[in-house]
Amino acid sequence: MRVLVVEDDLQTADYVRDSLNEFGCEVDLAGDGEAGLAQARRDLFDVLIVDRMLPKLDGLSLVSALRAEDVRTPVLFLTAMGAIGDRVAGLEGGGDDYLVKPFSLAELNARVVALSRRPALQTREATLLQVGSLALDRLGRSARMDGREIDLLPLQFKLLEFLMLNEGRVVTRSMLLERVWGFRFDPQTNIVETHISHLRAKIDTAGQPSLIITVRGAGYLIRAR
Amino acid sequence: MRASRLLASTGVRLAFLQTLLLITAFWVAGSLTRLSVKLIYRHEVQTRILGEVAALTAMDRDRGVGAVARAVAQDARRPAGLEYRLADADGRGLSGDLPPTGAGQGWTYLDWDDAVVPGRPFQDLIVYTQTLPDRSVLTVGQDLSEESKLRHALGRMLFWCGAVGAGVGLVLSYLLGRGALRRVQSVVVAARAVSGGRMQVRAPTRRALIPDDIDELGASFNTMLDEIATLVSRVRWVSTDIAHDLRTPLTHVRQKLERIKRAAGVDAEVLAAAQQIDRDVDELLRTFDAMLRLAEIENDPHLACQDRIDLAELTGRIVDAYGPDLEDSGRRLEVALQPALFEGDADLVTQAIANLIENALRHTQADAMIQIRVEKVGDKAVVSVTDNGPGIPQDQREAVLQRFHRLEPSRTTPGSGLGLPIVTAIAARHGATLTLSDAGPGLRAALSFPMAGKAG
Repeated sequence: MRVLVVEDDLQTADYVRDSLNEFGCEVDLAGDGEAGLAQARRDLFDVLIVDRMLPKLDGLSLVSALRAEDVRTPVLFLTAMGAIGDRVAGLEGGGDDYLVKPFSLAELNARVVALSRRPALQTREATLLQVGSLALDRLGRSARMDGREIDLLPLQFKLLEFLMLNEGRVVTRSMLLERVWGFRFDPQTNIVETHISHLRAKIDTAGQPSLIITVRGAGYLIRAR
Repeated sequence: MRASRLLASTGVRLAFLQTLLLITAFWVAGSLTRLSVKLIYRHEVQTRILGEVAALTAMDRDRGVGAVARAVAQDARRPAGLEYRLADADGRGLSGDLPPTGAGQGWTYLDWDDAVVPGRPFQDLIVYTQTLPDRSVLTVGQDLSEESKLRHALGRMLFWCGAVGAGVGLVLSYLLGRGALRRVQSVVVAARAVSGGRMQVRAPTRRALIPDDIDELGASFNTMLDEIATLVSRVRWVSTDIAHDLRTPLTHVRQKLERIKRAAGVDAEVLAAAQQIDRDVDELLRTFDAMLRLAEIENDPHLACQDRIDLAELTGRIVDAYGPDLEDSGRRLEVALQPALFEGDADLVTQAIANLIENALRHTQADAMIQIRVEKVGDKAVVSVTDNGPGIPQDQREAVLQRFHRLEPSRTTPGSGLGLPIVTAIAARHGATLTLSDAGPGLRAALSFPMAGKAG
């Protein structure tokens, strides 16, 4: 996977490059908006990571320019501008995801992977999701484990659906809060953890390891045993 | 435009008052004119009568009563002239048209019916009676019906002038008032739009040769709005700057911590310290985020959108999110949701209600009972979170709405101390109120939103 990082803070740029390298990504760096735009035009990338406050050309204008030229490469804004209005402007201006500094590496990795076009194991349009012996019928709003019907609450269904759509990929707590609960703030309680444990209780078989794996310091992922 | 709306306009009120004053002035002026006309007329009549009496008295002295009688007979025949009666000492008429008056010496007003002298319409008369040197009695008078005709004509004229003036005044003031009202109304509309978040709206201005007070009002209103817009953008700019200047070093701290944790390998002590710093940074960030959030909610006019929201449905979703946490902890949850529509920003209201629920969680024991209710109270959509925990003493309820206030002085429990101030700020953005009251025992926190109208 090839990623372009447009970031004027050298320390952060290096750090992001090193850690994405470790993660198996090839990373290009650009130190200002104009250089970033030129590189994004010249080469093909899987994901662009763009700061919003950049010298010469700000991140939002950079992305708008790319979108105007019909460049559809997924963009993750990585920025200190964390206000609700900033986030809305970023997503409306052509960004696909928005991460506020300071960030954890796990969060960044998870989001970059989710954005990349690396073919997912499950396609978004599939009406039937399957992970191991767990099947989810998205039209019928029902779930089966080894053919046995599981009774899920609407929120549990939504949570499981999101996990299964990202089979094999880590989804973080904040991704879940944004996409499943639609919360744009950080709850001070363990609501995600509690819901995951309730979900596990419903889908797991006694004596076997859980389908939903906790990735320490990062989030959760669902994977066939 | 409704009449009540029109009466609410200062201009129309002034014009109305002016018209009333005009009518009163006309009435006073009319009465005074009528009075002075009467006085001047009487004075003139009396002068004429006295002159005639003096002339006839002289004639009587010089040429005898026969000459007076002839002169009287001659004068009396002139139309619209004076009226006379000459009688001898016994009251027998010698000459003149006037019937016997029965009046004594000097001035007398006579109020006769038509019947007194058939064919001659004597009605109101003023007469002067004097005994001549030869002891015959002369009475000279003037019919006053001319005067009263004059007075009535004058009265009518004044009345119509007044009525037309008042009518024109009223219509003019209505038209002027309506024009002014429309212009003032457009300023009011602009003000509402701006306070509703549309910062770019301005009051309409017109190019007037001589600007009137409403033009000036609109112009200074717009100047004020420009000033506010500049301030607001400066506030946004400053908080963006602060965010950047604080987040960048924190980002670096995080990165270095990450490296330390890796380098530490199996050194448990270093690892533990690094993790502690990590948690401290998180805590710092949480407070910082809450502060920025609060500033944003209070200052950013672009923030709140106006969606039609069912408070019951929205609260239901939050309850679904928090319910398992509440019940797993051993607390009992009671939920009653009655649909209630209002207009607001779903994200912000969600945060406000979530903050109230988190507060209830944080401040109650594990066996507590928490009630979450949505109901219509009057024209308000009310969501309330009630617990049976320790509550907040009456004298502290005001204080907990202040920033960074905590009930326990040690500040050991997690939380930024900004939870309730954020709720208050969100409420303020929605024209809603946050009420804290005693649930005996426990605390009831209620948010009351103005309900959406049926048409809105």
